Amino acid sequence: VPITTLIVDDSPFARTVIRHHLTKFGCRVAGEAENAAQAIRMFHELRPDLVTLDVMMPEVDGFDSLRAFRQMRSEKPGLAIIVVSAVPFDKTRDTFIGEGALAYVVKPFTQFSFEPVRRKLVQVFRQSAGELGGAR
Amino acid sequence: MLDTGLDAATIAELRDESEDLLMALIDLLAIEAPARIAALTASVAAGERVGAERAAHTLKSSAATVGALVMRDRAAAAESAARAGELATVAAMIEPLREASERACAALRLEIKKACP
Repeated sequence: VPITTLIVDDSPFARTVIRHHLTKFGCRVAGEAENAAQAIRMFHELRPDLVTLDVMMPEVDGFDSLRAFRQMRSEKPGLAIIVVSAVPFDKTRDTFIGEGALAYVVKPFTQFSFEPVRRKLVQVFRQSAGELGGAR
Repeated sequence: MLDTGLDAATIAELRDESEDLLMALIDLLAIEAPARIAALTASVAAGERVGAERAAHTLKSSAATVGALVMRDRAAAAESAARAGELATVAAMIEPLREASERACAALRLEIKKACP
C-alpha cells in the first residue's frame, strides 16, 4: 500500500527533489504545502501517513514549523515526520528528534542523505503493516 | 567549481539520479528565479526587510539545489544584508544576482545539451 505523503517546504526546488526520492521509494505524494499554516490545512484534508517538514519556513498565520510539527503529532501521535533543514544545528535537531521526529535530514536532500531515512521508513511502515495485518 | 559558476559534483549527482529531475529543476529555476528576484526588488522598494530576507533565502536555497554556486553566494549575501536591515546594500546586490541567475540558467541548459546533443 503506498504511503500517503505530504511534503512541506517553501522551496519548489526542494519539493521537486523530495518528491522524486519519495516517489522512487514508493510513497504517494498526496499534496505539497509551502508554509506551515497551509501544511496544517492539508494535513486535516489528506490525513497523510508521512510528512516531510522544512524547518526554515516563513511564519504564516502564527504557524511556524515547530508549532505545525507539534499540532500534527498531537492529532496523530503515530505520524512519521521527516524534518528537513538547511542548517545542521544540533539544538534544532535535538528538539525535533526529542519530540518524535522520524529523522532530521540536512539539505540538500540527496540519494546519499535519503538512504538512512529510507531504512527507517522501511522499518516503521513494515511494522505498522504487520500490526494492521495482525489486527485483521 | 566550474568556470560557469556551477558545481560539477551537484550536477553529476542530479544527473546520476535522473536526467529528468535535472531538467525539471533547470526549468523551475528559469521560472522561479525571475519571480523571486522581482519579489526581492519589490520588498526592497517597499522597505520590507522580512520579505527581502525571505526572497533572498529562497533564491539561495534554489541555487544550492542545482549547484549554481555564484548565484547561491550572491543570494546568501543579499539574505545577510536583508537580515541586518541594510536594504540599500541589498538593492545594490540585485543586478549582480540577476546576472548570476541568468548565467546559471544558460550554463545549466548547456550542461543538458552536452549530455543530450
